[in-house]
Amino acid sequence: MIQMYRVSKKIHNTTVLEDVNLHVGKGEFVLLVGPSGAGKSTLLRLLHFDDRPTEGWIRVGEYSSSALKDRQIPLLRRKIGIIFQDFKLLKDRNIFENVAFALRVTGTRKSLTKRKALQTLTAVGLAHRRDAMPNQLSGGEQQRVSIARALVNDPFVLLADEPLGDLDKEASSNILELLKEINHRGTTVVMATHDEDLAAHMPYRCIRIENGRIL
Amino acid sequence: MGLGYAFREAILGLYRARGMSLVSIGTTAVSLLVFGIFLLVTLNLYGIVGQVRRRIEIEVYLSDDIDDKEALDLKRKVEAINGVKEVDYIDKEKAADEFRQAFGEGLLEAVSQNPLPASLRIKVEDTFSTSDKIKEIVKQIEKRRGIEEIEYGRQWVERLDRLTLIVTVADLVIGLVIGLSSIFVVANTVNLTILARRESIEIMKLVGATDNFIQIPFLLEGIIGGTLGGALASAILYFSYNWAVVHFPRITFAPSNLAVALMIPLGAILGGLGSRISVKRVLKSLA
Repeated sequence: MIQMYRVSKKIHNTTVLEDVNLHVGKGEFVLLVGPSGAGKSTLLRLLHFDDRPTEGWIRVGEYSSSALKDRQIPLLRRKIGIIFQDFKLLKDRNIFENVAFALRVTGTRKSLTKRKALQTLTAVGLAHRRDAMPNQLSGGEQQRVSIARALVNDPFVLLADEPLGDLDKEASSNILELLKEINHRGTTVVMATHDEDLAAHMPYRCIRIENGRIL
Repeated sequence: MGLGYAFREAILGLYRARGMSLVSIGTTAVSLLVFGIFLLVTLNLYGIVGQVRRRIEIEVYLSDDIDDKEALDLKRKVEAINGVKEVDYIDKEKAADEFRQAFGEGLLEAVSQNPLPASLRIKVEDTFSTSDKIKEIVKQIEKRRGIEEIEYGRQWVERLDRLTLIVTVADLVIGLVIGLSSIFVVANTVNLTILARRESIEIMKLVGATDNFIQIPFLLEGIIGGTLGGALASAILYFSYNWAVVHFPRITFAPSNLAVALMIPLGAILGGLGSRISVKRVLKSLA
């Protein structure tokens, strides 16, 4: 499913990741745990090819870093879902349009786009707020929208970069439940977090990362 | 992506960022208005120079020893010279009539014989109305028999040549400055509207939009915004020019419709290009 082999990443001559080997199997829920600046986000960015490794190779599903051309990156991104700490919603579009956008980029028919976007919003419990703008929602709700957008194309893996970082306790636990449920239905989840406590209480594999190295 | 979708996105884009869109359309309109005013001034300046040049005539005075037949023969030969547009034969009698019209009866009657020579009055083609070209024509006429004197206001034509040169150079320099600043101002404003949506572009890429999928609506948005700015500039130019034409009837204004309408495609091109360059730059920085 996901494989990293001897991956290193240097940014402006600073080594951000060094000699990382990683394997994530189909249907797994994996936590990437480490302090801020440890290299968790860089690792996730490499997985959705927002950046390329300086050394080593990466395989995500059928895509390999050695063979993937820049123009194929959008195709890969349509098959993986990504969520972020700051939600990254299109602020000038309503909730429905944010989710529908991920379908439109794939060329999905208008009628199907509408149906699927609404179905996914229903699944995250936000169909009733489909006309609201992102700034009219709470942090937890915005993260739900971003999850809906990530899921709407039925991805084989969901990458989550500190998805609970900006949320209060209750919203965090709701989002976490949602992520567990998504994983339970078969989607692989890779979640980065700096919260050691949270990681300790989760029944999933933890990968510790510090100073760019996997411990 | 269907063109319908891209077009709808472009219109929505203009609406969503309406504040910035208005600034961008307004800036395009003002820039093109300045350029349009310059263009109209230029057109009229050249119109005036052209009118003056069309008045240039070469007067070839014939000696008294050639008769009408020889004179008409000479007329035909002059007509065949390259650059000659029209030749009028003014015989002695007609010259006297013209003299009487200009200076009244009496003066001419005081002398026993008509002292005025017959002449050929030559009009040259517009492209031959410079001092050098006129000299060439004159040279070809000079060698013919029966010519007393040739006059064409040499100093005056040379002065007009110098004036035209100064006007042309100044016009080109001013035009270049205005043109470049228009491009600069419009491109920068469009760039700002795109930069304000850099985050949106980044998000679009993250959810798997291809560069084209992102670019085309922005390109259309730039073209539509630019067209609106151009149309606004055109409308202002059109109404103020026509106002001037009505209120200053003594001035002959050059036809302006084409130059005025030109602002619309210019706006479209500026808006489209500015948008395309800016989005490309943002996409490149995100790659």
